[in-house]
Amino acid sequence: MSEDDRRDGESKSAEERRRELERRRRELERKFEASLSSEQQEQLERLLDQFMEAIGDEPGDGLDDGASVVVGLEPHEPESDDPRILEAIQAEAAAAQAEDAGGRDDEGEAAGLELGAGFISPDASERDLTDGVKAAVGPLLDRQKSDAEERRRATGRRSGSVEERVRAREDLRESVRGLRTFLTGMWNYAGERLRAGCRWWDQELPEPMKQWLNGGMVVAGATAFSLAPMVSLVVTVGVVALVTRRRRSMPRDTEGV
Amino acid sequence: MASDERVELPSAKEIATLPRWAMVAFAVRCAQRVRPLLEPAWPDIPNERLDAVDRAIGLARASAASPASASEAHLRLVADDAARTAGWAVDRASEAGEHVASTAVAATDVAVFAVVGELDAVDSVSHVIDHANEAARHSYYAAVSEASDSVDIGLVALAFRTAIRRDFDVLRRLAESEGWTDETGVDVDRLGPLWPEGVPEGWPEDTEFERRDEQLLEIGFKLPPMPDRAEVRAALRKKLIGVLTSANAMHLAEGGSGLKIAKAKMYSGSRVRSGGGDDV
Repeated sequence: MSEDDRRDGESKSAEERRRELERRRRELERKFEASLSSEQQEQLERLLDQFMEAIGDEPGDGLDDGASVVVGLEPHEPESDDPRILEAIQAEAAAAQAEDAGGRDDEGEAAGLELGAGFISPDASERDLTDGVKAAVGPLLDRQKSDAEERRRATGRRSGSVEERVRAREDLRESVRGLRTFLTGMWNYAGERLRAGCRWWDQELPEPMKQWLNGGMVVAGATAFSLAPMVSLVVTVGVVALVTRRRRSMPRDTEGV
Repeated sequence: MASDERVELPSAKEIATLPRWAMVAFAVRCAQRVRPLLEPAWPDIPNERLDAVDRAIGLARASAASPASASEAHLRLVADDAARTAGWAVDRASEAGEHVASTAVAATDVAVFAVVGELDAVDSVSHVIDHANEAARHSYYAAVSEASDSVDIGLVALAFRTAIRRDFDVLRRLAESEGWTDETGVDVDRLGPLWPEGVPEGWPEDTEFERRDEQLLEIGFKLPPMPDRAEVRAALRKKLIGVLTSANAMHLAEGGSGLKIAKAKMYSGSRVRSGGGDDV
């Protein structure tokens, strides 16, 4: 065998080995993917995405910068409406949240990640949902207004009775609590999925695939999985009434009291 | 006006049924109602005196909301200042309307006793009762005596009694339903407009709010990474609509014109999947 033949044989052997390795890697991937249902595959993809986002070092990388919704309501006749009504609505919502915070502990048991607080990143995208929300809620608000006008005509009074006013406050508190509970539940669900992902990684993911993932493009996600963070959940439902008060309503000496 | 003409101011005995900070909140509301009477009654009132009254009302309001929030030194400072203003108002009573002066005295006294109550618990509750009641009665008489000749004093008085009575009734109902104690803080803002049926004819304009046309209620929350499923979006939509409609119901119940959607926006970080949000 000439020197050239020997080099050709080695090169062919290296190429064959590379092809064989590639073939085995693809087979392993196929087996792994075949072992997952489509729902599991989707869940895996999302979990990895979430971990990638949650563990980012740069501002704007984390789940803290997740979607926020803001809905603004304005009075039909602001010139004649007392701005204290909006302050009362805000105060009721704050009272509902204070009750909730006082009665339950939503903080989760350990630390690492805190979801739900933070600022919108500068490169956040903004989507205008005004038309959609108007279409969905506008008719309901209009019907409430018509009913109130009918009551006003019947009673000769603009405001409701004491019972109606107290009930309106109770209903508002209940609805704020309901939204907060729902969001907290969804955050808990998200956290549970992350924890399930951690368990799945540790206990069920085939070792070869774990190694492949560890050595590949999702190394950050793999690291997060192996750390198995417990997720601390904080949900904020802010209700902010914007009204312009004169300075004398908050004298300097009482600021910060 | 269709209010019941038999409406009476709450008696001292009735006021005594309120928890302590609800009494202070009640007195603050009385003082807030008559506050606009001070400037027209005393056009030459020195700014520092006006400020002292505002500080006293502000302190009582802040103390009612957060009873343990103020430092002792700060409480003593404002209490002393309010007491000086009360003394000054008494001296000036012959020159200006007696009941307006008395109202200022009662309002500042309420603040003083709210403060003293913090510093010295002995008899503080009974003092607050007395002065809350005084504030209510003086402000009532101030309302009647300050009404101009062209307005129906009877209607003004009725509007005043009705507004005060309704404050008291709402406070009592909230105290019952929420189980308030003498330690429970009361946010005066929860009581809503001072005049749910509209400002009485001839009453000085309430200038506490600079721009009434800039009113906006914002409801904001952060969305968790939710499953992209129709039932989840429907549940979120239902909860959000519940908040929006109950806010509107309260606005209407308080005598407002009702609320409408001004804007609705979703902000999302650039790396976060958006997923099915248009119909949130």
